[in-house]
Formats: sequence, C-alpha cells, structure tokens
Amino acid sequence: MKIFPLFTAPLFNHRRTVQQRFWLFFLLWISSGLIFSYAQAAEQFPSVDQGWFVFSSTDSPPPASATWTPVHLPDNWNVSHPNQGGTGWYRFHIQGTYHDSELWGIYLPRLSVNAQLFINGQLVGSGGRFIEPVAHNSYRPLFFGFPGQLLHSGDNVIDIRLLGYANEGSGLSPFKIGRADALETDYQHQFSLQVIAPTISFVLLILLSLMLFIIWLRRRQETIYLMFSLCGGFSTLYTAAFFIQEVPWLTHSQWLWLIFSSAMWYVYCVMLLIHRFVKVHRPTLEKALLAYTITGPLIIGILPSNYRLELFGLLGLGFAVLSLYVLIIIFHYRHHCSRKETWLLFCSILFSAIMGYHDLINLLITQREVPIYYFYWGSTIVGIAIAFLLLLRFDQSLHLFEALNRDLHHLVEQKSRALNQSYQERQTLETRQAVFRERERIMRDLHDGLGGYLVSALVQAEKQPLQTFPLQQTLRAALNDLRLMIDSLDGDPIDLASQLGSLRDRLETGMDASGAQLHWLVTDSPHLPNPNASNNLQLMRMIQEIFTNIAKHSRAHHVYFCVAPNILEIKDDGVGFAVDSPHLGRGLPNLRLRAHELGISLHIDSSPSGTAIHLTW
Amino acid sequence: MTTPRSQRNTVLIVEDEPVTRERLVEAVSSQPLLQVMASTGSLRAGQEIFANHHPRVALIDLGLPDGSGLDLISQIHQANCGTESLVLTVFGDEQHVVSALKAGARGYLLKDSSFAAIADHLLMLIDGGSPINPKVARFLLGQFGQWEKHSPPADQSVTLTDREKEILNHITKGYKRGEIAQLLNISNNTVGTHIRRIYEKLSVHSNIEATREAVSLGLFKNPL
Repeated sequence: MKIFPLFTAPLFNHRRTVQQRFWLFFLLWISSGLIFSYAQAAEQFPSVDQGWFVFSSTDSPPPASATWTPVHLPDNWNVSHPNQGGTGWYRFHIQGTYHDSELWGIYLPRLSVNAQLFINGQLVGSGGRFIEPVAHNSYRPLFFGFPGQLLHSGDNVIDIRLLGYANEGSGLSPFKIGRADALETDYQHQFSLQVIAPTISFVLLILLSLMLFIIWLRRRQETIYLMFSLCGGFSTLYTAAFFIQEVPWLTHSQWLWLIFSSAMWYVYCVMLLIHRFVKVHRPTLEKALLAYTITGPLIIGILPSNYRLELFGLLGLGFAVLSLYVLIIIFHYRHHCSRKETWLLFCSILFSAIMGYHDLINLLITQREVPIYYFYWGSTIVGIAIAFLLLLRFDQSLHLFEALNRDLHHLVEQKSRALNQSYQERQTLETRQAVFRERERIMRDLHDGLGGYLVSALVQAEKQPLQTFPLQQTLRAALNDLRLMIDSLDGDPIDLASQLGSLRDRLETGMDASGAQLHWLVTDSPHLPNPNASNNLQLMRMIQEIFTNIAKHSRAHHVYFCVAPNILEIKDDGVGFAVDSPHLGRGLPNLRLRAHELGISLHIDSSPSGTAIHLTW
Repeated sequence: MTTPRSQRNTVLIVEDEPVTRERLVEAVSSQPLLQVMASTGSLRAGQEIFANHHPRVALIDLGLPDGSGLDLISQIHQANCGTESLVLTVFGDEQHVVSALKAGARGYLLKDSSFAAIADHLLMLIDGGSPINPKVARFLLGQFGQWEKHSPPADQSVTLTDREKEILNHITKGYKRGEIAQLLNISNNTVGTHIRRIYEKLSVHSNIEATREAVSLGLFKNPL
C-alpha cells in the first residue's frame, strides 16, 4: 500500500485511486479528533475545583444551614458517595470584581447525568428535565451564559444542581468561569469532539447501513450485507447516546440498558460479519455467542440497577476476548482476503478494540474523574472500513459480472453465428439431398421406364434393319440425348472431364460409322465460366452437334478432340466448308447461339484441307 | 426360363424386359467362347440357377419384378465361387453402377451395346479385367479419398495405391484401357488387373461400412 502519494496530490485529484482516497479520509477523521483534543487542552482557563456538596431533593439551592460537606472536583460519586444517587447540590464561592456589561459564562466540561446552574440563588441555565425521562448530558459538555450583572463585587455563590445515579460514575469535573466569548470557544471545541463528531458518525453509519441494506434486499443470498446493516444499526443506537439529550418514553435506566445491549449486539454482529468476510464457518461458536449476547442483557435487566455498569463491564470482558479472537481470525485467514482487505480490517478492528478496552477500564476501575467513552470512534472506523471493503467487493463483482457478461455476449454472438452458419449449411445440404433424391427418382424412372422402352424399341427396329434404319437412328439419337441429359445431371458439375469421358464412347461410335479415327487428348478438366448441369448439357450438345456434322459432311479420316482448362478444340482433316455460306442450315447458327448463351466464344476455321473449331472462355 | 447348357464360360442373363433379354441372349450366343446357360426375368429364378449351376458370368438387371438385382449380385459375391457379375444398365449412370459395384459387381453393361461390345465386355471380364467408365472412376476416386480423410485405414489393402489413382484419373478423362497402358507404359492386362483390384477394395470397404452401420444401429452386440 502506497500511503506516501496521499500527501502529494489534492484530495479529489483524478489520479488518486479509490483506496488512496479512503486512506486519506481515514487519516483526516483520526486527526480531526486529535486536533480538537489539542485545541481543548491548549486553551487555559482557571478551573474551579473546591466547594461544598449536599444531597437535597429541593428545586432551589439548599440553605447554608444544610449539611454541606467539602468537596474537591473532580467528584465521582462512585468514590465519594458509593451506592448513593439522586439530586446533589454543589456550592462554590467566587470572590472578585466584575464588569457588569460583560456577558459571562460557566463551562462544565464533564458531568453526569444532568445539571442546573444557579448564580447567587438565581437559576441561569439548565441541562434539561430532572424527572423521568430525564435529560442525558453524561457525554456532552454544558455551557451556561449569563449577564455579568448577576455577579457582584465580593462573594458570589455558584450552585450546581446535579442529577446522578448510584454506581454509574455520576459526578462533576472541575468547571470554568469567565467571559463568555473566550469560554465558548473552549466549549465549542469540546462540543465538536463529544457531540458533533458522534452525530456525523451516526449519519454516516445510518447512510452506509441503509445503502448496504438496500443492496442486501436486491441480493438476498449475500447475507454479509445484512450483517453490516445490523452492525450499523446497533452502532448508531449507542452512538446516538452521545448527542441525544432527551429520550421520550424511556427512563434513564432503560436507555442505559438499551445502549449497552446495542454495544454487545454490535460486537456480536461484527464477529459474524468478519466470519463471513474471511470465509470462516464456525456455527457452534456463533450459537454460543448468540446465547451470551441474549442472556447477558436479559440478566442485567432483571437484576437491581445499582451495579449495572459493573455488570456490563464484566460482560464486556467476554467481548474483549472476542475482539482478540476476531483479530487472530483475520490474521490467520489472511489468505482468504487480499492484502489490502486484511490490513484494513485488522487495523480498524484493532483501533476499535483499543477504544473498547479504554471504555471497559472506565467501567471496571473506579476513578475520581467522571468517565468519558470512546467506543463509538472504533465502531465508526470499523463501519467505514468494512463498508468500504464491501462496496469495493461489490464494485469488483459488478466489474466481473460486466466482463463475464461481455464474454457471454461475445460467446452467444459466436455461437449464433456458428448456429446460423450451421443452419445455412444444413439447409444447403437438405436442399442438395432433396435435389439428389429427386434426381435419383427421375433417373430411376427414366431407366426403368423411358430408357427401357427406348432400348426395347431400338432392339425391335434393329431386327428389320433395312426397313427401319431411320427409326433406329432416331431411337439411338433419343437414347444418346437422354444419356447426355443424365450425364449432365450426374455427379459434380465442376468435373466436366468425366462427362466428356462418358461422351467419348458415343462420339466414337459415330466416328467409327463414318470411317474416321478419333484422337482423344484431355490434359485437364475444362473450367467453364458458370459450371452447372444446364451449361454442361449445352456444351455437350454443342460437341455432339459438331461431331454429327463431321460424321455427316466432313469425310474426315482423323478427328482430334483436345481439351485444356480454358479451351476446347475439335479438328478434322476433312473437306471443310464455307463458313459464310447461306446454305448451311440451322446447325451453325444453333452452335453460335449456344456459345453465346454459355458466354464462351466460338471460332471456326475451315479450309479444303480440314476444319478447326475452337471454343474458348 | 431356358434350360442350363454348360458350366464353362457360361452366362446367366437376368433381365425382365423380354425383347432386351432376347437380344442379350443373341449377342452372347454370337460369340463362340460364350454360352448362355440360362436367361430369366425374375430374381428368384436367377438366384436358383446361380445356386445350382454357378455360371461363369451373370448379367443382372437391377429393377426386377420380384426384387432388386442387387440381392443376386450380393449373393454371388458372398458365394465367392468364381462367378463374375455385371450389372445391366440403360445409361451407365452412377446410381445404378455404383450400388452394383458396392454389392460386388465387376462392372456394367449397357443394354443397347452392340453385339461386339457385349462380347468384348464379357471376354474382358473372363480374362480378369473389369469394365469401367469415367463417371465410375471419378466416383471411386472421391469415395476412397473420403474414406482416407475421415478414417485413414492402416491396412494398405483397402486404400488406393498411387498407380491405381493414376489409372482412375486417366479413365475420368475418357482415356481407353489401351491408351492408359501406352501412357503408363504397362500392359492392357495390368490396367485391367488394377481396375479389378480397385473394385475388390470398394467391395471390402462397403462391407466394413455396412458392418459399422450395423453396429451403430445395434444389430451386432459385439463391435468388431
């Protein structure tokens, strides 16, 4: 973790990482408390600490004849008046000369539980209700301003009425009297530390708890968010004790019970949360602690209230051990978290534990000073740290989810493309198969039907060769044309060589009949511009037509059939013909038409020594 | 149905069209080295004659009134008794010829072939050759290529040799047996032997395929 860059860039510099901002905020939070404390300590005013004390339930200052006893502040009733509570009166005598026009004030830094101020028998300020539900000022300083006219030269009597409870650390610390403006600054510093800071913590914890509670509502399976909300809820309850003065419906005793119970529930929930966070599963321990957390406050609620704080202190010892256990768990299972998470958890829990130990010592060890409690600092730090880590994990989960979503989207796209391609291929294949099946059916029909009849008719015509020679020729031509069609449909349309090869036998039969010898030279399969069954058939018909003409008219002895990929040449050594003659009939125009339809060029070169026909493409 | 006459270079003709059958009988009879053992128009009769007399050559039409001629071709091939079969076809088309070759036929014969051509074909067959045409050659090249591509067989006896491929390539271009012999500087008979061997390999492959198909369909309990 690089802390150093925290101090080298502005707070909201965009270059800062989220973690750096958190650490900066964390340090500022801690330092603010220290600065306030320092400011408070730096301001020096004369404190009043010597006076008189008497227990009296009167609403106005008791007379001088009452049983006043000397008192030295700080006065903790646990020490000076054990097992006693109620309304006590402090009386102080101040000598001096004062200016009437000044606004004066008395600043009570620490007291418990509530106070009223009387100057020279006149009430000048009150901390709130003295009957149940009473006002709680145990954790806040009080400041009472009053006009300087109330003070006069010579002896001035200051009476402080204090409401306190037995064995709860009630009492009064040394107070200050002076000009209001100077004292108020001192008071404000202390007020910030003891009231404003807990209020800010309260608001912060409430917001974080609500936020994570909402997340939990959306993601019920992630119980860790609920754990945090509960932690936040309990911690806000006892943090509220620092700034809430008057609690309606609840007596002081009930309010105190609620605060301490919430602190115990808070510690219990933190342990559960840490278990979930570092992925430790210890149900037996959790159940045992649940029983401890439930029964402890119940027993305290039943028992008399005189020793309540001590009992809470003893219960707190169990939670002090628990805090050590939590620290050990975090350290032991550090490999379940990132380094950052481990350190942040460990430090915040350690800080919280130290605050807790401080408060526990105040509860268990009686001292003269009126106690002050800091545990809310710890819970605030722990709350912020855990909320930060949970939100960080949530953010990481979102990023992971987005990345996975992107990957999934990409995968779905890929699969869709593949599926689409496969579908297209399947469709093509199915079409091909359908065509193939149809072709098979037609060929079977031709073979068993028309083909058979043609052969049969031909055989019968051959039996009377003289009478039926033209019929024989027609039948053979029909049979050969049918074969040509079947050849063109059969097999791969690109493979023209084998179709030419099949044609050879029939061409050779014609050549043999005319007395010509066929010379076959096929180096490679011709590559027609648009090879398909129809075009192939056209080409075959052209070739057949050319050979028929050679057989009929050329009187050739040798016919050469040469094929290369882009040319087909038929050459003979016959008598030739006049290419431009108007008496050639339909043969040549038909050839030209077919060539045109095929997109190939036809060139005829004829002379009395022979004819060469070139088909090129 | 005519009565069998001889066991030597005897020919059985199974063709349901009487006129064509008669012409084939005439064509075979015109060649002194050949004798028509029997001619029939039904599959069952053809099977009986073959089973009892084992002719040297059988000319078989596929579309018979009581069944497919392929059954008789298979029967002859499985019997392995020296009888060669030729499928009778009108067009020499791939569909008819290839299915017959796969069943074990040694070649094909066009129904309207001249007497001389019919005699030539039969004598070539008896001499150990096998009639073939460019389309069949092209089919064979494609089929063997596919087999080798999908599951290259370890056994050389069921793949085509370079020479066999060369011969088939020439046949696809329309070259005759004699021309191929001349081009490759080998004898006519060698070309015929090569073609015959190719047919045998096709038949072996077809049997393997049929067995695989049967296993995949669960017809055999123990796969090979």
